[in-house]
Amino acid sequence: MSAAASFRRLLLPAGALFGAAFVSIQFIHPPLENPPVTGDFQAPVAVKSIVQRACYDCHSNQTNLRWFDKVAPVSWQVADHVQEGRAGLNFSTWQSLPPADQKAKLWESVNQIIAGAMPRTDYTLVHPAAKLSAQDVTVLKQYVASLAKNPPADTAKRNAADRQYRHWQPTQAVPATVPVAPNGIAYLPDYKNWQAISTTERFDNGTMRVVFGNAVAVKAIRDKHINPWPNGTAFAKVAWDQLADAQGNVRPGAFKQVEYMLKDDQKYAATKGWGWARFKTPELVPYGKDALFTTECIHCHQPMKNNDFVFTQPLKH
Amino acid sequence: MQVPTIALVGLLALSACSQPQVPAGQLNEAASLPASFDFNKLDLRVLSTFVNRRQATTATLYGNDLARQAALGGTSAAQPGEVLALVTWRQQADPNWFGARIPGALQSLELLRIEPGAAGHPAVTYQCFTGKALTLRADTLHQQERIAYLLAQKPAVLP
Repeated sequence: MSAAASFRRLLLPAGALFGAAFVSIQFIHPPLENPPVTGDFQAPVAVKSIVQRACYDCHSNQTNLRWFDKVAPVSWQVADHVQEGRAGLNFSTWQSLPPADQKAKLWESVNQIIAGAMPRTDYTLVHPAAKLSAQDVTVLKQYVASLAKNPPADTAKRNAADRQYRHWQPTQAVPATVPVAPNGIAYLPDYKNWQAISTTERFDNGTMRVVFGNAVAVKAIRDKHINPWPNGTAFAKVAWDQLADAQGNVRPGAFKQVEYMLKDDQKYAATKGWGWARFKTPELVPYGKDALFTTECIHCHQPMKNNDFVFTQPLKH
Repeated sequence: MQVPTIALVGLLALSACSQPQVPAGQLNEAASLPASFDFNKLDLRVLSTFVNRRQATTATLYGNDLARQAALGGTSAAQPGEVLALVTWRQQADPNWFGARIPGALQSLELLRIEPGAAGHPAVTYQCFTGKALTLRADTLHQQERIAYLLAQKPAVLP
């Protein structure tokens, strides 16, 4: 018997086996249900229809699966993506978010879209209707820009800043107990002695920021070796409320938080080579319920993956 | 074999085209200080940051330890040895974040030093350097106003 003939003889049972396996895996499926819509996203019709078309399949409880999304093993991956998408942002439970968080989510989403990170390419490839045109992006940008209002600071904001300033003890170099983030990264008081490598006026959320870099970062900037950044690089980003007067002069008000990015491609390999941490208020309360808080950091920095996950364009002094 | 290979290459090409178009590893050259100025030699720390919305500028205030202590104490009596520097930039849209503005073209660097003067009165020297090359400006107009402004600033809360 020739090799070709024996191959043909094997082909039929192999095909049958494969077919049987394919049919049987269709009965294994992770539950992907559409839970009730408890507080749907509200926006002008033009905005809402874009968001529904491009985002709702993964970021709402109104997921519309097409037949090819329901065929295993593709369906398993689809279910994973949808669960992950809903966990990060869910327009069906939108009203449960405080207004400031709603705004922050919208600005972040628009930035993910501008950077090309969303909607995901593997999704739009099979769901071309979800693709966003330049016109769609303009509509979304105009909408979020219309939400940014930075009026002169009111009495409450001024008082909060004054109260915080009075309680601040700048001569106390290190707090009695050093706060530690859930992933084990401790607050580093020395950031105040690092160099400023940039500043940011955030009109999306009414804050202003200084980004500090340690000696390793400053040397990397001087040597133009910033993609990737060398191990040992540390950034600290400090955010304050904006205190604006009627003439448009803005100064820092209440301290909001300090955030760190510490580079070590071995130690922090699981989190894109960076150790992430955030400490809020002058009491330096660590952010995050558990070590998984870093997925939030990475999601937001994902559009910068070709830039070693760093948003800041540093300047030299 | 040909068809799947072509399909795979096509798929890769498609996903390559939709990669984020973010400039990688870029320095903010326009906002950088000229190396010849050697700003680091002054050994100053960040005290605060400001934005002027009407002029679309942003500024960072630096000071040495003496200046920082004086600013914290809120006393107007200047001590010899204090050094303050205010670097001001035109703002530009942040290319990496819609919703933010970052330093653009370098506009000026104001440098204030308190030195021991005659009859026990500290003397204030004020210099203003402008433009990308930070050229010393000869014009002394508004100097007293700027000195008063710089000495009046409180540090931002940095816990």
